[in-house]
Amino acid sequence: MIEIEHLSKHYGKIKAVDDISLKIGKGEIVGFLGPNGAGKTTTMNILTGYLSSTEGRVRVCGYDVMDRPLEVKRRIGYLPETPPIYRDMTVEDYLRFVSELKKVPRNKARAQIGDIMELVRITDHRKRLINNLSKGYRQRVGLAQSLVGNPEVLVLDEPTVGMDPIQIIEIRKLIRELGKDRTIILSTHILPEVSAVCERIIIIHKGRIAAEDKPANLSGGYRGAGRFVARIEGPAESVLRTVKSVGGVKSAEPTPAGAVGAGGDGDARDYALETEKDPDVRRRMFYALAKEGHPILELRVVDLSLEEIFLQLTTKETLGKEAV
Amino acid sequence: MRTIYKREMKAYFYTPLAYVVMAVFIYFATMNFRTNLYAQHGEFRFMFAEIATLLLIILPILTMRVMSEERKNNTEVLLITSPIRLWQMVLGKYLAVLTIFAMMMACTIPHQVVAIVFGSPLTMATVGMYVGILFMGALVLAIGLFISSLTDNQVIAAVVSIITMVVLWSFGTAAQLIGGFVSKVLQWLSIVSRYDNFTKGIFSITHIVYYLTFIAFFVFLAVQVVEKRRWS
Repeated sequence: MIEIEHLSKHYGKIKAVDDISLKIGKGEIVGFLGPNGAGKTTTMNILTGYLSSTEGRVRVCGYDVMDRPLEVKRRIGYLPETPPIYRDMTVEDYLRFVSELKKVPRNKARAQIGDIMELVRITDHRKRLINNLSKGYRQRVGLAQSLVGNPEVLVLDEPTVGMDPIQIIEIRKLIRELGKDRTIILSTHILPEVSAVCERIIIIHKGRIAAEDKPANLSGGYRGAGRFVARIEGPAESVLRTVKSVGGVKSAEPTPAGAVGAGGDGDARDYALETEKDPDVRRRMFYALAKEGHPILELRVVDLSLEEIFLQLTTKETLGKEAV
Repeated sequence: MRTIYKREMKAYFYTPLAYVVMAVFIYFATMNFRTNLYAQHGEFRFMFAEIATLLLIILPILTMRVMSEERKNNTEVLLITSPIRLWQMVLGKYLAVLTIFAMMMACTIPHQVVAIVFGSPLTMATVGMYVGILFMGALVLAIGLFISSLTDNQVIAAVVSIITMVVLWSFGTAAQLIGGFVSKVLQWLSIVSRYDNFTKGIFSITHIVYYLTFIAFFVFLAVQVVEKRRWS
């Protein structure tokens, strides 16, 4: 659906995008993740034909953005970082204007605009001037705009920015919904957002792809070692001795939050465990503790949060560069 | 292109801009017409000369927002990523300001009607003045459009446009003072001098070609400015 080959964009000497290659299949929801200024927006701007690239090719639905821009633009809906809204128009007028721009046939436009307004829940505000809407609603109008013409590909640059938590949940749900029959690329620097919505994460840092995987694999792959929190009953000393004696357990210590009696579990307490990447560690631990009469009340895997992975990846890179 | 044109027309009337500019224009045009009333004559040369000067200052206010506002509001992204061509977008905008200007000029028609009713027949010179002033104004708008495409600040666009117009206008006066080859060049560049010929009732193809060429040139430049920004 979308093929990016060796894409680069230079602003003078600054390389905003540096040799990115990427393939996105039909119906995928892909998240671009990166700090501000990483090159997410530039990549999206090139993809949608707003900017031209310095080097490399981008093809959308088989059409080259450079050679057949109109074919590409017809198939992409784009919500830029700042929603491209005319504040002096009402929501409905604005969407009608966009549907004319996108060459939606007149007889279909009316129904389509109605559906879109219903979908992003702005029907109640359709007669209002965009200028008088709150930031979150303007963002919705921007999202509505990108849906006009029913494009096969949606490019959303930080779609939930400026929204309150309830709106964010709604919009994320909507994006997942939309992703059922569309290809979606969205960018964000909010990590839970990508893990909530995307099937694939592409971490962009300093114009390059730093990592690319499924949200679950990413956090698992960079875990390095298994991390668990276990709630175990019994005197701390004895529990710690038993746990540490299990092969594969690297470290174990009581967590400050899960003190004795936490959660009404008698004298149980929470222990943070670090183990080697070996699924059998948990089994061995279970039997060892059972033998000593220390039941495990709770055992949960702690994934590295995306924040941590992100920091690991990005700091690794800068450290590496400084070393050279 | 029609879509852009329609949106631009609405934009001028959604905001007070078109109303204010037209009101100012009508006020000054009518103040000049008063001279005709007092003197009871149907000679419109002076009135139109005043109007021409007025337009040099007023039309840049009309064009100041035409390109720069889109950049400022980030709506440029929407237009550029839509399946329309860049020249269609720029031309649609140009035609919209042109229409507003034509509407402004149409507001002076009652003056002519008054003159005709009171026994001063419509002369070719007057028709020439209308044609001439439309072409001149169209060029001023094209230059304004180009300057507006260079910045995202409307005030800067307006000020730079007005200064440009005044400089171009002063070329005509300067030409009369200097003489020689330089004078010819300045005369040629002065957009108002060209207009003078129309006021004499002379329809010369060269003058029309002159205006059309420059209009096309500046509209083309505006397209290029937007295009170039995508590449840098």
